[in-house]
Amino acid sequence: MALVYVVDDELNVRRIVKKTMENENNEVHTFVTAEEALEEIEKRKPDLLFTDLGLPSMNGIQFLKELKNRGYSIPVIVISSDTSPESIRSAFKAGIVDFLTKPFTPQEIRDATELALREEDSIYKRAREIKRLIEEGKTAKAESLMGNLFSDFPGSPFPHFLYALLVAKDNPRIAIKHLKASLSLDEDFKDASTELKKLEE
Amino acid sequence: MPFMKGAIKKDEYYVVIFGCGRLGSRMANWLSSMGCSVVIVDRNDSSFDALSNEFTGFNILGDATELDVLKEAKLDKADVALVLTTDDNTNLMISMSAREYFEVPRVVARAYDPNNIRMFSDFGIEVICPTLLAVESIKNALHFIGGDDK
Repeated sequence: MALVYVVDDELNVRRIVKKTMENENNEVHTFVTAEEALEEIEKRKPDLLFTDLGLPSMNGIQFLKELKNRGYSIPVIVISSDTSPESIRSAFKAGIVDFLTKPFTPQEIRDATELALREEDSIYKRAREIKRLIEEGKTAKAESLMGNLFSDFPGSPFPHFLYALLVAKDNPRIAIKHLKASLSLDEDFKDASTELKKLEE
Repeated sequence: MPFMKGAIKKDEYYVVIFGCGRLGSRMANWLSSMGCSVVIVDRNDSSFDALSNEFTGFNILGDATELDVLKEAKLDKADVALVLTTDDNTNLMISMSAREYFEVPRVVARAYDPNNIRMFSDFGIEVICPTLLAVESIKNALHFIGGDDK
């Protein structure tokens, strides 16, 4: 059972997500504003968070940045009727796992949840393993695991970062390209910017 | 077929309704109260006033004969489409798109003119004909006239 928070100023969205997630035996709490949700997150960190982008007062992107500033790493699924490329890009850059458009189906909620929880569980673990293999010089094994990481997490900055580490010695130009790709997915990814500085020097 | 004839047994069906008139809005309210995920489409904004406060679905303002509106309603993910506008031709066009293009498992449409039923049925669309339903109801109401002759 996961603890799930839903932040949306639309009652119907809160109700549908709550019902769908409760049907899957999760504990669900709903909030109208980001401020209310933040207050609760300080008390009890959820396993998964659904949020709208067009929230009253603090908007969804500001909310995601605030979570990051406070050091929280929570898988986030955005549900929004704002489907402009800029909004989607900003949301993914802010580290979300999935973006659902309104209206949505219960199955979309379930699929996104499965992806989010699987990603939270595995990407960091898998990234650590690949980094260790690269450091130990086991590049063939690292490369094979990396292929899966790219296909499983195309929106994550990790696969590009790790690939850059893998090829940095033999092909720094390609490494630089991948580090830039990694930073375009997450401009605050410090490891990637440090590595990029090193290579560019 | 995920949405079996007869009864709604699961509370997670995704239903798209076209036409938020007297019938469409009532169906939307009922399906919503049954727990289904409902999207209702109408080209007249004030039509949505007929939805109850308990309605938990989504409204889409637009002309359902336009493909973009059907895509916005995510018709491709629908378990059921209820096509309930007041115009048979519009209903046929939307129903055919739902069946042929979006492959909705169940499409139920309203056809006022009994002569149009065959056209709908040829495309695998289930038809509700208010005219025939009224005829049957009136026949039943006047059943006593027939006496014992059946």
